[in-house]
Amino acid sequence: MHPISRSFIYFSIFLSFAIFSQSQEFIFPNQEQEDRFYLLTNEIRCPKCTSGSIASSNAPIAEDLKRKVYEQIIDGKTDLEIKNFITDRYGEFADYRPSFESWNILLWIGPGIFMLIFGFLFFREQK
Amino acid sequence: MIAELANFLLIASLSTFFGSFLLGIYARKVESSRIILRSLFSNANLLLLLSFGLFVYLAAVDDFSVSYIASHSNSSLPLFYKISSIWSAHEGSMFLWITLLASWSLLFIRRQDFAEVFSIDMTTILSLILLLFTAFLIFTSNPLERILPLSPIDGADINPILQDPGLAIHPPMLYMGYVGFVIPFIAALANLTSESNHLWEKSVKSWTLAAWAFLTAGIGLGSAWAYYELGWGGYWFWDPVENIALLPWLCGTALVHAMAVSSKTSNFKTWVNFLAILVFILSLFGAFIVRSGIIDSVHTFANDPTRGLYLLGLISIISIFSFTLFAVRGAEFQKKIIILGSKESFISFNNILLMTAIFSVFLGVLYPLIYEATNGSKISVGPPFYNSIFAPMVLIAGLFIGSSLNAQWQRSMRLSSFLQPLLGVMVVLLLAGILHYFLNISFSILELMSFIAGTFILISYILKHLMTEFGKRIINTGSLIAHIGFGVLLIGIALNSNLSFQETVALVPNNPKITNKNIIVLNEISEADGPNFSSIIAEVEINPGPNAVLLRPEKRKYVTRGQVTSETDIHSSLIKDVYVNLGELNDQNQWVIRLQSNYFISFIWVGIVLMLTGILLFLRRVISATK
Amino acid sequence: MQLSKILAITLLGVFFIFLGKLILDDKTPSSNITGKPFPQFQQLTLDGNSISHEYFIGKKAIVNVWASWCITCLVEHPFLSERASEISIIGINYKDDKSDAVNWLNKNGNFFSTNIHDPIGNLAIDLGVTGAPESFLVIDGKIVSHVIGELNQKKWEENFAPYL
Repeated sequence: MHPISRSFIYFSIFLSFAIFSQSQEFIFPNQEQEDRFYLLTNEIRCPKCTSGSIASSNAPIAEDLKRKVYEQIIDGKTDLEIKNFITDRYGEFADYRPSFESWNILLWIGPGIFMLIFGFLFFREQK
Repeated sequence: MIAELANFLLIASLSTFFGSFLLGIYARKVESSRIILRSLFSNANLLLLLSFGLFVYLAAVDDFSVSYIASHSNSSLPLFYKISSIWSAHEGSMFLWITLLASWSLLFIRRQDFAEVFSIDMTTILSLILLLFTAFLIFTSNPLERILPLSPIDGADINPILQDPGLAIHPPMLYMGYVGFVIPFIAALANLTSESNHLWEKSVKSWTLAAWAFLTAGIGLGSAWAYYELGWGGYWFWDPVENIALLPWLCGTALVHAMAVSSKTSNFKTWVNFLAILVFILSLFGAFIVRSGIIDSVHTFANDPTRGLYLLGLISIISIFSFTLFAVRGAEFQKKIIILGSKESFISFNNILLMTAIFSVFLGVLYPLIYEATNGSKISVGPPFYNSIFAPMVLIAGLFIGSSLNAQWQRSMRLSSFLQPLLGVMVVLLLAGILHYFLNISFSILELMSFIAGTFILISYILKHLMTEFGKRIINTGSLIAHIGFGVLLIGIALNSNLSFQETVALVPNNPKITNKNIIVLNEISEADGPNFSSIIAEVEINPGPNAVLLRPEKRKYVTRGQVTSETDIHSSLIKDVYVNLGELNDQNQWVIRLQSNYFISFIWVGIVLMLTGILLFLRRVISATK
Repeated sequence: MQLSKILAITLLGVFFIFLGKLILDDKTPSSNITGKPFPQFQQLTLDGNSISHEYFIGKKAIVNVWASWCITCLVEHPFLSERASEISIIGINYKDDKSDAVNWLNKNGNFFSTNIHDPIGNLAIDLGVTGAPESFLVIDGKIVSHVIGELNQKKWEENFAPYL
């Protein structure tokens, strides 16, 4: 499913990002790289914005990071290498996909555990 | 003077609500006072409505001595936007929320028979809720405050992003949904306090359905607005605020389904009380937590922590009271075994899934807060998490919806009833195979889950229809259409995610550019002036020839604030939307243009409209059955 | 315990988390770069000399990210100027035009030991910078502390003074 941004009611905070500071052109030799670019920029959180990915922001830092992602895709870096490049500099905060490590495992499997326990209690409760 | 009058009416309504709350407690015992309670409660609501009416009037006649109007409206705005500026910030939307709550309660209480203690209790609880929120409005966020004697000559203008008819009606729609859930809430509380085994679900079912319909429409409108206006080509963002609006919808969905069980069988009596309480608490959350600054969101615009603290305190008091009441009194109802394969067992699965969905959204919102408190560093939980969690749940939901068609109340399914869902699964897999091998569509695992769920729902309904004798109704029409709508929505989401792509090009006029999939020509750039903005309009032609698509994206600069917005132009067809966005002129004198090809977006809107139609048809049926 | 009670208690717990967050909220963003060695680079200074990360070896310095278009940088300029007598301050001229930067320094005073010219912000990204101004304390080639936004007496005492 598309991780592209969207929103209900945009108020004042949005303004600062709505002003287009610069728009860059990213030309890719093939569609596969272009698709990867949009997937990655949608998963990287804009470090200076209140909320939203770098794909959905025109803040200067978001534009710079998009350029970095673009350059690294052209250089043939893998998605993992690009993500690591970003998180090394801006922390886990910049990655919208929490890693499947240590405490984060609880986040990822939490819903499954909840469903099993709740389902068990639900059917037992009503008996 | 009018502002003072409105303020006076507001304070009068506050004291009347206080009176009606006290009288409500008294009227439980003393029957003769019930007639006064009814008129006191109605008058309190009318005073509030009148006060809001005056506020609307003040906004319409540009009374900029009222501080709120001065900072959110402007004399150059059309009347429609002068009025919608009322809900463009905290104080006004709070006022709107309370007014809608008051109107909804007024309509509901008028139909109640005051001979019953149950009705008295509902009125008392409603009075208390309205009392608390009106007090909050008056003391912490009064929209009627004036700037005197130095009132400004003109207002500060409304954010141009909000100058859109879709967005102007979206918040009231959403609020109607939120406040509507107050009815099942007070009914559940009254039921828990009055000890009577009152069949409250029946009397509030239509109200719950109406609230659910408003919320569905509100969320759908918000989604469509974002898609057509924001210019990012997306329709759902998993932004914290969207998540929090989704919670009451998920819970409302669980409640409506659970009500079907509790009104048909003796099961779910306790459970329905819980859902009715939860749905309103989540609605309060949805309406107010957004503005408190607790969660990072682009929607946070009244970032005032003290006010947030009051609101959260208020919501906490309401939740602590109602959940404690539930924990103490909720378990006294009789229970019965749920037979696997029966209709109520399928609805149990529905409720388990929806509760898991609510839990997952909460987990996603809360985890970063907990993580920060324990590890000291920040983490983000975003769309990848929600998509990965929701896709499997949607798959399970789809399989259950499709298989449940032959189920009956309190009876297990016959083995032969599984024949049809089995056939359905085979058809779906065949279809996915055809798409993969012949049309070269390779779904990701998440997309595949959504696609299978959607097609399985559709095929099950078609098969069921074919296998039933002609003319025999298989299921009530409302439910049929709503579930088909859900199926269409899921197919739309899967195909949209799989097929859509975007391209960015820099162009000089009349110099075609050939990209991987399109030929794009910038025909001309022109300038024009609107009522309160000036704009640059580009004419873009895509794939010149007999099937050419001509689009005119626009860039607007608003006079008052100097803000620049990008007006996307969209060419829609059933299968594909072409979406063009005009960027800046770059340093090589080329215009940057972003082109998106969005597939099957229409399926998403059709799905939502079908769901809404289904809910409304079902609502009509419920209303005519209770008459 | 009954399901209803478990659910009621869990939900109340959720409220307290929100309440706690609201009360204990501090908005200072954490930095991911402190404790790491200064990133490797090879760039030109505003004077046109070559400079690399080896410059920081064996030195104690403040690295300040600034630009002529940045208003807050002008605000913190007098404070930095006072500190320049105690510690060497190295500027990173961030996403700026060289002549604008030189004019700005001539006009407002130049206390920087040297200024690294970072016209497209590549070095700044390696430092996890999100905008100007930002300041780092570098001791012997290692980043010890990071301040985002205006550097003033309070932030100096909280973030830099303990290491000096």
